[in-house]
Amino acid sequence: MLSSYILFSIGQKDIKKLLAYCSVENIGIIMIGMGLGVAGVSFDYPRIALFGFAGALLHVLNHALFKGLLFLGAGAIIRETGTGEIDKLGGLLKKMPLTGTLFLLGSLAISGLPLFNGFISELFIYAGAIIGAVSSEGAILPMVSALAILSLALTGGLAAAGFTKLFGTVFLGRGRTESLTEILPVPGMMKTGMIFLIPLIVLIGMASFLVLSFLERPILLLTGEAILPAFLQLKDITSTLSLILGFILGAMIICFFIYRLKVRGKAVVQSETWGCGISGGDASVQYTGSSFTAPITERFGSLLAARKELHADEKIFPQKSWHLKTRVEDWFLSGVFIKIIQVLDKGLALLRWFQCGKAGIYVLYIALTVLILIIWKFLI
Amino acid sequence: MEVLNMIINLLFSLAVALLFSPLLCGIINRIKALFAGRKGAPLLQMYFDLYRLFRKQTLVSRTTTLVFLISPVIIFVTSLSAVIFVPILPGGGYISFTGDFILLFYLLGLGRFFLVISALDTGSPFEGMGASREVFFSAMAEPVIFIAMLTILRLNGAESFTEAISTETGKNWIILALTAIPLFIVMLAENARLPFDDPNTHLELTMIHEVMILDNSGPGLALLEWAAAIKLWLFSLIIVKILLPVTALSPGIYFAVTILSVLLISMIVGVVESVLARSSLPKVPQLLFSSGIIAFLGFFLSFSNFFVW
Repeated sequence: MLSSYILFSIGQKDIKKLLAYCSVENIGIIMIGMGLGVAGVSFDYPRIALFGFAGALLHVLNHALFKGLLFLGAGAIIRETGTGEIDKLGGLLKKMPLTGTLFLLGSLAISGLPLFNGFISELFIYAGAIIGAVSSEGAILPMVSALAILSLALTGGLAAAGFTKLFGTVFLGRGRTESLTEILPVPGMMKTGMIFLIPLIVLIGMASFLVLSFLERPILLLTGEAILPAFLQLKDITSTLSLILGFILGAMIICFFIYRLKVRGKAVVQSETWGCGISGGDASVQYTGSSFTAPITERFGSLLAARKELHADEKIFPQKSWHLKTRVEDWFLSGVFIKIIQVLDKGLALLRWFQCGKAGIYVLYIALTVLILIIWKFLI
Repeated sequence: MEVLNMIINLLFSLAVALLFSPLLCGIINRIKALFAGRKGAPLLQMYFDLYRLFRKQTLVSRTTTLVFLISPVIIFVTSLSAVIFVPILPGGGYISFTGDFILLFYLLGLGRFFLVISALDTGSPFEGMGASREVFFSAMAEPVIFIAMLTILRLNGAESFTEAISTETGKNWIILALTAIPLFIVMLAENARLPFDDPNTHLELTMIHEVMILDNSGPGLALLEWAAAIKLWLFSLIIVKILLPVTALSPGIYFAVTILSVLLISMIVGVVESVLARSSLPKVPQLLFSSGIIAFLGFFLSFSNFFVW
């Protein structure tokens, strides 16, 4: 259920809010892993327990890494451009290349794509769910595992949607406001902070067998000794995986060099983006972040409490321009969470007379408490 | 040596995918032409197209960045590397681990991520529309594929997809049909075929894959087209491997039968494309959802032993 918050993440227009709701989704993934682990322990399937807990714990670490990276990047963007609204940005990759590239790596990691660490933890959880769905007896655990896989798949796909939206709208294309043409470079310390997180992201992503020794003891605490044989399978999987990923990365690098040779051989001509004969539109013809994810937010509109405000001039020859505002509201936050806090606030406000601000009364409170304690001691 | 055997097997799968995938597009286009009463392009047309594109110049828009230039390579390599998880010859070595099909589809997802951001890189509303629809449809299609995969794994009692298709034990035609149909529908969705997208045009109704690669040219475009063909080959091969029994045929005959079956699947795709019109956008999630229901029905049925023949 928490994973469904990815939908809220997609609908946001502010970088930080998008990242925040995405964190809720990742906690959902961690909970799925924990659930699988607990199910494995209670149904006595040590392998499921191992994979579930390993995935959950690793995802906690991975999430800290790539979410930290993304938030640092968001901070750099907000500092340089003065705004965190996605739909006001654009084309920033040319202005801040290093920040943008690091942000891209963070986006790839959080979408759970291979070669990065997000994929490893998600794979562990998937593997645990697959074992649950295929090799366990009865009907409950397979069904629940299948549901887990379904929700992981759906949220993974939607996370990719959200982060292509974020990266594409903020860093690529053309800037959507005038002020973006003059941006100062990002300070070196900010970039250093981001670079600091990259090695671990790539290391866990490419050489996952190295992390297993760290996971061993916490998992043993959670599950007991029975899972040790299963650890070998985990080691096996991660070694095979790292080998494959290494080859794929190598193939990419080789192909890239061949491609570069081919492309450099013929001059690469710079021109305008093809506009179907209508070139020269300004930056506002581009897709904005909200229009990019509009199919998703509209399809899930009831879940997301999506609101649309249309100020239309309905006359045949309209005098005023039309304005459309869309937004996604977090109904859980405003409808449930804040309501609870308001009720608590009102209830506790009744006790406010207790804090009157006079030092003498407070001394009286202390004396009364000591008196009560002395009487208590003698009574019991 | 086992490892050597496995590497040769994998390289063979890669080579076959590279060689035969453009033929699939030729077959589909020829079938569509026959339905339309035309003669149609030669079957080997795509090979000529790839050769022509590789020799051409690359045109790059001023709005784009390095992302646009490196994406074709990444998309091509990921599509090709996904093929190693569907080995074409049974019995020979293959890579197998729990959850390998996850890596398969997430590699394709990596390619898709870069396709989408290279489309957004151009700053054009055409590519934006294609990218927006692509992420939506693929997010809907992923759960369907995974449920179908789970059903196949359950049927064969294997935890690894490559193992399930290379050493088959149980054959239960109803469940297989209930798995193959959603996989076919998802294949149409993921490869931008009708009724989800019209590969002939990039007009507003049908802007998905064809429009995302609109600004690419030269070798980059060749790589992208080839990657799309390889993806089509991959999905067809998955369906064929699921349905074909692994009997004790000699490798040569089995190989020929597999290739012919893949070509048959592409002919079916051609017929479907000629007969159906592009479905309206609100209908697409419904279509994917119904195929998900069918897949889930297959998964559900794999719990019982009613239909074991």
